[in-house]
Amino acid sequence: MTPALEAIGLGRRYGTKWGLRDCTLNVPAGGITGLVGPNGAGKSTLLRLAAGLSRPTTGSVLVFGQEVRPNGTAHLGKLGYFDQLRPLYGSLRVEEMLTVGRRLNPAWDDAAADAWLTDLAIPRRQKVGKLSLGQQAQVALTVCMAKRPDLLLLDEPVASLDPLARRQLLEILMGTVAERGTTVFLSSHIVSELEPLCDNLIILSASQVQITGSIDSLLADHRILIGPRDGPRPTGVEVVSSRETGRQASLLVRGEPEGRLSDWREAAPSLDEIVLAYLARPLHEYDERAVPKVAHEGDEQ
Amino acid sequence: MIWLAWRRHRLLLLLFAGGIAALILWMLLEGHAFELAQRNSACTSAAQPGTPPCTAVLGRLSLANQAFAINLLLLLLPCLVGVVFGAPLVAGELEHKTNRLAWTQGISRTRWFVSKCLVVGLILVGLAALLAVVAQWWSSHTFDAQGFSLDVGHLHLGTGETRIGPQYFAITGIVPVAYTLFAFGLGAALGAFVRRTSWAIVGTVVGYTAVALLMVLVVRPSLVPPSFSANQNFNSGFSVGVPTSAWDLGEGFRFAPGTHTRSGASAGAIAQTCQDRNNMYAPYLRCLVKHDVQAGAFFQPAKNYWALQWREATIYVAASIVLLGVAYWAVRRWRA
Repeated sequence: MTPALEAIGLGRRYGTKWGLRDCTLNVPAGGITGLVGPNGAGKSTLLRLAAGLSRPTTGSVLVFGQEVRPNGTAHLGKLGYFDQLRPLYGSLRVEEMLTVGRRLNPAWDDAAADAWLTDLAIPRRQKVGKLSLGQQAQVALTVCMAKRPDLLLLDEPVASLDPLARRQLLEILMGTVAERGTTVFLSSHIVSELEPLCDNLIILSASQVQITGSIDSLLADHRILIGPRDGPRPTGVEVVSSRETGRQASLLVRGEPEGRLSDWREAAPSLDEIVLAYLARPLHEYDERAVPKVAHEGDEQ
Repeated sequence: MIWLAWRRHRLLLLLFAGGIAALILWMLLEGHAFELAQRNSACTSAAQPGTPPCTAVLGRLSLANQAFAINLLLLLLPCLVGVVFGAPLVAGELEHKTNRLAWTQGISRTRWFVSKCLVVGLILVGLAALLAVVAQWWSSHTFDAQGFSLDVGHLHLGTGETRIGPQYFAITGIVPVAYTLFAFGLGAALGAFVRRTSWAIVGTVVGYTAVALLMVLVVRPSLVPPSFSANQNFNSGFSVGVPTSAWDLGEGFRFAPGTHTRSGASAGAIAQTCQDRNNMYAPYLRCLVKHDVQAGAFFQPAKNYWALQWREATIYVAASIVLLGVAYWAVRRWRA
């Protein structure tokens, strides 16, 4: 199955500083994939490159198998892009913002846009610039979704929104995804935000994919092993992180330990713990050829 | 996209059109006042400038010496267009990141840019053309008023400025339209490059002024080969023989017709050498004659008005096309 988004050796340099460097990743078609990583990991740069807003310095980015070119139009109909800053024409009324969408997009879904605005109780005659931050985000998402994209790129969609606005936004999003089968690729630096939402997760740190896979398989493949600090350690597993306190050692590992060591016990880590363990890994340990691969949701096994 | 371009810029465009309408009204009123004064024989008779009937006519609309203010406004208007419409055309969207919204809808950057340029550019060019037509009529009743340059009390009517003189040339004919397009293109190109409206505004003002000065001081005097009025009698001044309707380019030297190929040096350089060697008048003159150099004044006669207009407008329009091309290239090339 063609991935919804594919980055191959993708890099973007701003002056002498790399915003994203040599990034290779796949976003499977269907479902919601979360992109998590610390600030400066290159999440926004990656999404802008995928949306054709920025020109890659190296490598390429493909949307449903087709290369994205900044001046091309082929990708435009397939993509919905929600910018971190949620730029809208502030001097336009909400209804005029929808007119913009209708006039610029051939597949515009006027009825759906209308229904969303009604559900959200956003005043049509209001100037967009006078709406609250939450409402602006909702209008921006409405414009993104009403163009009926196959792939929705959302850069920090719920950052700086209050809990209510956050829930409303996510409800619309989830509803549409379920109804239309849109692939969603969204970034966040808060894992707890992504866990209930996403099927798959990509952990990005300094442009590099630390691990990628479905949330279920990530949870199933990792365990915390706690045992004596001195003495034999479990074998056959990849130790992602280890912490030693007093006489005890606590390891976060990937894989099933071989055999059983009687004095070690096992615990299930939370997604948060897994993500933090990968992000805390010193970067020099990273080896490009050894990107751990875990089955994606929807992958043919 | 045309709808969006119009919707986004309509407020400023309408305000601008309103300003131009007010200016046009002002010019019509003032031109009419001059027209009345000109028709009044008491005013045109040079012997009776201060007679009561003439003063009464002019007093009805005491706008007479506002000609200078209108002239200044007309000269500044193209630059204002560059500042208000050109500089923010691309840079304004880049600053507010609304280009990220526009460039991820269903249309290409090319269509986005071309639509904006067409909608805003065409309206501005249309307004400039309308203004130029009115300015032509207005100035024919003020600056250019033939036989109507006299003092009526404290009012000085008719500036003695001619149609082809710099002050007047730049606001009539077709060049104001070309200037407007150029300022618009300059602002757009700078904005697309520096990505900051404020810097693009500064650049537009500086660039537009520099080009305008270069044009009037260096390029325009010889855009059509100027005429020459030879005058060996320096005591009466160089400009003797320059028609009052011409644009006086000032003192100059040339080789007598048919003789200029003899030496590599320019006529001006030889004249300078002659002057350096002879501090007395008579030997200096003999030196000039010996080298077939004529002294006198260069000028652009009034008949060259349209030739100069077309050539200068062509230069400005060509530059505008290049600038808009540069802006387009930057829009296609650069990140959002």
